[in-house]
Amino acid sequence: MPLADSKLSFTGVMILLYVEEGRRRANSACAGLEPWQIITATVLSTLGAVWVKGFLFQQESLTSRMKKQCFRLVRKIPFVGSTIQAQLNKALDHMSVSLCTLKEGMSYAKHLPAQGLSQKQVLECIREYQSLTEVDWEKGRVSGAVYWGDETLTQLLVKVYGDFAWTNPLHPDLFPGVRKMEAEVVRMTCNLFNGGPESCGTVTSGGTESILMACKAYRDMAYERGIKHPEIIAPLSVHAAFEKAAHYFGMKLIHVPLDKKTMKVDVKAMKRAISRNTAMLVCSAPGFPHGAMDPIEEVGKLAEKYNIPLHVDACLGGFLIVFMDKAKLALAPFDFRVKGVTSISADTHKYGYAPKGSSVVLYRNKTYRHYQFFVAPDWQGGIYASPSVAGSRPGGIIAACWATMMYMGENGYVETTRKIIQTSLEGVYVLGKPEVSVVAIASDVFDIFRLSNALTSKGWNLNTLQFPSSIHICVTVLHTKPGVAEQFISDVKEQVAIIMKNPKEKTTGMGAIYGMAQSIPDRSMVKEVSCGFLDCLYSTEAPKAHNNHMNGKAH
Amino acid sequence: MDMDYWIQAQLNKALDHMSVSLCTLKEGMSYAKHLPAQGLSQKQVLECIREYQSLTEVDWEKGRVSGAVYWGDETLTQLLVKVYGDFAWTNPLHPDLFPGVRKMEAEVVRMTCNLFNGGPESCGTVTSGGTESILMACKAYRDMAYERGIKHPEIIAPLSVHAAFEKAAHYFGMKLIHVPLDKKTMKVDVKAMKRAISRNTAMLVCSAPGFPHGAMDPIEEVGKLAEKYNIPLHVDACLGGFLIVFMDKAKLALAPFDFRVKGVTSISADTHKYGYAPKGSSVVLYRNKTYRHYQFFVAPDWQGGIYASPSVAGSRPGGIIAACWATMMYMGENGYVETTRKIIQTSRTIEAGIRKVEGVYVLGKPEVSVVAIASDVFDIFRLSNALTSKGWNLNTLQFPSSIHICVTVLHTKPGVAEQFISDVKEQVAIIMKNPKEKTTGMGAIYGMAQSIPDRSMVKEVSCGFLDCLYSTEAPKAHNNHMNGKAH
Repeated sequence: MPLADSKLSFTGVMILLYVEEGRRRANSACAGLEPWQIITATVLSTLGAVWVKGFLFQQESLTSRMKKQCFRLVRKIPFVGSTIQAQLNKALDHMSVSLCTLKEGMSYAKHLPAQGLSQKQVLECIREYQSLTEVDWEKGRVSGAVYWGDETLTQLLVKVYGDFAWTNPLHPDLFPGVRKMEAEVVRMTCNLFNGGPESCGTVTSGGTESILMACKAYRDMAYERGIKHPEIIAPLSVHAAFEKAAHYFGMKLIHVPLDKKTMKVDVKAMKRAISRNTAMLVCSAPGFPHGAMDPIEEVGKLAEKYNIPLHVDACLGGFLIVFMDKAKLALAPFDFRVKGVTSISADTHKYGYAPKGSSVVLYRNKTYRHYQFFVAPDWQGGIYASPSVAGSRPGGIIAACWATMMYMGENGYVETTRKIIQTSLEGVYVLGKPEVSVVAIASDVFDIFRLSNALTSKGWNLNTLQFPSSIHICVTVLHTKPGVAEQFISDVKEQVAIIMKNPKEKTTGMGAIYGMAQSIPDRSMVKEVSCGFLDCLYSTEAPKAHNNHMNGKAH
Repeated sequence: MDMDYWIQAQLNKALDHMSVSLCTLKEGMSYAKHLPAQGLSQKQVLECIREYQSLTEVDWEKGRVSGAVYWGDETLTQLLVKVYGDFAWTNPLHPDLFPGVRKMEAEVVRMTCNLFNGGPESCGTVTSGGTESILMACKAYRDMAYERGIKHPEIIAPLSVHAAFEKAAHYFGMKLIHVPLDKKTMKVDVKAMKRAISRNTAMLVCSAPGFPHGAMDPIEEVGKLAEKYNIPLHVDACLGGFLIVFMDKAKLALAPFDFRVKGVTSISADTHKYGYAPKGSSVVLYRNKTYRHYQFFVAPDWQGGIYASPSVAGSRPGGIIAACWATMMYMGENGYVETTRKIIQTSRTIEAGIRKVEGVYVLGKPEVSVVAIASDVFDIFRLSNALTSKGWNLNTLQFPSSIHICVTVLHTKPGVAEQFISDVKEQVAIIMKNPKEKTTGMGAIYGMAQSIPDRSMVKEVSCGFLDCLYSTEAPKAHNNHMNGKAH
C-alpha cells in the first residue's frame, strides 16, 4: 500500500511539474503580446477550428465531395468538357428517339380541346394511346412489372374501383366504408406476417412510400434519442428507395457489402457498421437484384443486442414468402416471429395482385407507428393529421386492393405462390441462391448485356443490373403458363451458344449504354443523363431523329 | 397538476367520442381480420362491397358537403371507370412497356402548363395529390438552397398556407417561417414577408387561393420580392388552380397569379379537385427544366440498375393518370369555363347572403370558391354544430375560430345555396337568443383543442384519432380510461 501511495504521489508531482512548465512556456510566448492580440488570436483560432470541423464532418464524406469537385473541374476544361457533353447528348438523343417516337400521323395534345370531347370520342382517342404499346406483357415475356392481370380479377376490381371512384380516406366521416377496408387490409396483412394483436400499420401508395415512411419514423425516433445525424445501415442490394429516403429525410445511408457467393448481406460487416448514430437496420426479403433472402434471424439478434429498430423490406416478395410455408416450401423466419424485427413493408400491388398504387407498411406496435404520423395542430384550416405522405388518397384503389385480397383468399395465394416458385427454380446458371421469385444471371466469360440485347430481340423484357453486371427475370403468374419457362430457358441456351462462338465481341445498342454508364467514374454525369431521361418522359415534342446538339452550335 | 389531469380526462373523453363515432359498425357487421381461407367468388365480393357502401351516412351527392367531392357527374364517372379499366395494369415506371400512359402524363402536364401561361420552357410532373406536389416543390428548392451553400433552408409562407408545407419542412429538415396575414383581407402581409427574408431563405410561398379563407395572396407584390432577392416563389393553387385559370374566360376579374408574374418559379394545381379527375392526381409545374431537375431523384449506383424517378413514388397507378387525362379531354375548355362560372356565382351568392345575416361575418374578401364565416358575438362552433344537425358538413377552422364552405359543382344545383343561406339565418337567429350559451359536442372539442397551451397534447390526441382509423376492434362505448385506472 505505501509503495502504491508513493507511486501515486510521484505521478502527481510529475503532472504538476508539466503543468507548471506548460504555463511558463505559454506565458513567455505571450510575453510580447498585448491582451487584444491574444483575444483576437483566440477568437480566430476558435472560429477556424469550428470551420475546419464543419468542413471535414458533413453528411457527405470528404472524399466524395472532393471527387465531385474534381470532376466538376474536369468538365470545365474546354476540349474535354465539350467531348463529354457531345457523348451525353448522343445518349440522350438515342433515348428520346426510342421513347418518344410516335406512330405515323399521331401528335401531342398540348392544349385543352376548346370544346370538350364526347364520351365516344375520348374512348376512340384512348385506343390510339393503347396502340402505342409494343411489348405484349400478357404473354409472360416481361420481368416483373405486371404480376398477373387475370381477366376475371380485372373485371372485378374495375367494378369495385368504379363504386368507390370518388371516395377519399381523408374524410372518414364521409367514407366510412373505405376506412373499414383500409383497416382490414392492414389487419389481414399483419396476421399474414404473424404480427399479433399489438401489430399495426398503414396502407400506402406503393413500396417506395412504405419504405420512406418506415425510415421517417425511425429518423424521428433517432432524433428523440438525441442522435443528430441518423444513419440507415442496409445491404448493398437494398432497394433504391432507401437511398431516396436518406436523401429526402437528411439521413445517411451506409451500404454493407454482400457475401459474394450467396449475395446475402455480410452480418459481421453490418455489426461493424453500427455506431451511436445508427437509426435503423434493414434486411431484404428477398432483395430486388438477386432475389436473395438476407439472414434476418442473425441481423435480428444484432438489432436486439444494440436496441436498434430493424426494418424488413418485403416489398417485392412479401405476398409470396408469407404463403411459402403453406405451399410446403421451406424458408427461414423473416417476419415478426423474429424478435428484433420492428417493421415490415410488403406491396399488395406486386404479388398481392392488386392494381398499382397500394402497399402496406407494418409495425410491431403503435409506438413505432406514431413516429410515422404527421400532425399539424395549429393549422388555420383545422387540426391536420395524416398517416402517410399523401393528404387526399384514391379510395377506389384501396377498395380494389381489398377486393383482390378477398377474391384471392389464402388458397388462391398459396396456389399462385407454389406455381411461381416452382417456375423460378428450374434451371440456368444464377447469382447466389434464389429462394423466392427472382433469378439473376451473370457471366464470367462474356458481357452479360450482350445476352440482354439478344433476349430483347427475341421479345423478352428483362431487368439489367449493375455492380456486378447481370440481368434478372422476376417471375410472375404470367410466366407460370405452360411453356413460358421452357421457352425462356431454350432461348437463353440458344443465344448463349451464339455469343460463346465469339465471347469477346463488343456489345452494341442499349446494352453498350448500360455497360458504359456503369464504368463512368463521374457518377454525377450518370445522374445528369438520367435527369435527361426523365425530361424525355415528359416531352411533348416530336424528337428530331438526326439532331446533333454540338453541330447545331457550330453552324 | 390537477389541471393537467383534467385536460387528460377531457382528451380521453374526446378520443372515446371519436372512436365511437368513427368506428361503430352497423348491427351484425364485423371486421375481416384474416384472409378468407377460400377466396370469395366475384359475386360474393360485390355483395360484401354493398355492405361497406351502406356505412355511408352523409349524402354528398346532394351538395351538402364542403369540398371533398368536386363533382361526381354520372356520365363522367362511367367514362373514367372505363378508362381506368383499360389502363388498370399500366405503370409509368415502365415507359417502354406502357408508352400510352407516358404520353398521357406528358400531355396532362403540357396542357396544364399552357393553362398557367407557362410558355415552351415550362415543365412539370404529375403527382398523386396536392401534398405530393407541394412536397416536391419544397424538396427541389431545398436542394437548390443546399447547392447555394445554405445549410438550414427556410420556407417563408403565409400563416394561411396549407399544412403540407409544414409536412415538407418536417420531412426535409427545413424551417417553416409563418408570416402573419392582414387581419382585414386575410392576405399575407407583404412587408412582414420582406422582413422575414434572410440569407437562409430557400423559397417564398403564396396561395391562390388559400384553403382556410379563400383569399388570393398578393402574388404580384411577392413576385417583386422574389425577383429582387432572387428567391424562388411557389404559388400553391392546389385547391383552386382549375378555377382561377378559367376565370378570365368566364369574365370574372382576378389579378395575375401564374407564370405571367415574373417572380413565380413554380405552381401546384390539383386535377382531382376542380379538374374533376378522380382522387390521386395533381400537377406541379416549374418555369423551366433547371428547377425540375432538383425535384428528380437518381440513384446511379443501385445494383438493380440506374434508378431514376421523377417524384415520391416508384410504381404509380397508370389507370388514374389515364382517367385524369380522359376527364380533361372530356371537359374541354368550354366545360371548365362553364362550371367555373357557376361555382363562382354560387359562392358570391352565398357570400352576399351571409353578409346580410346579423351576428356573423365573412372573413376577408373571398375571390374564388371558399367562404369563411366567423362571429364576434357567439362561439361559431355552435353554428357548426347546428348546421351539422341540419345535414350540412362544413370545415371547422381555427386561429381565428371560424367555419367555411368550399363550393363545388354539387352546390350549384338550384336551391342548394338558398337553402344554405336560409339554414344559416335560421340557426344564427336561434343562437342569438342566447349568445353566451356553452358549446357542446364536436364543436366543444374543437374549441378546447384550440385553447390547450401544450400543443404536444393535441398532437397526441390526433395520433389517437389516426389510430382509430386503423382500428379493427369494435369500440367499447362506455369505456372511461380514467376510471379504468382507479379500479
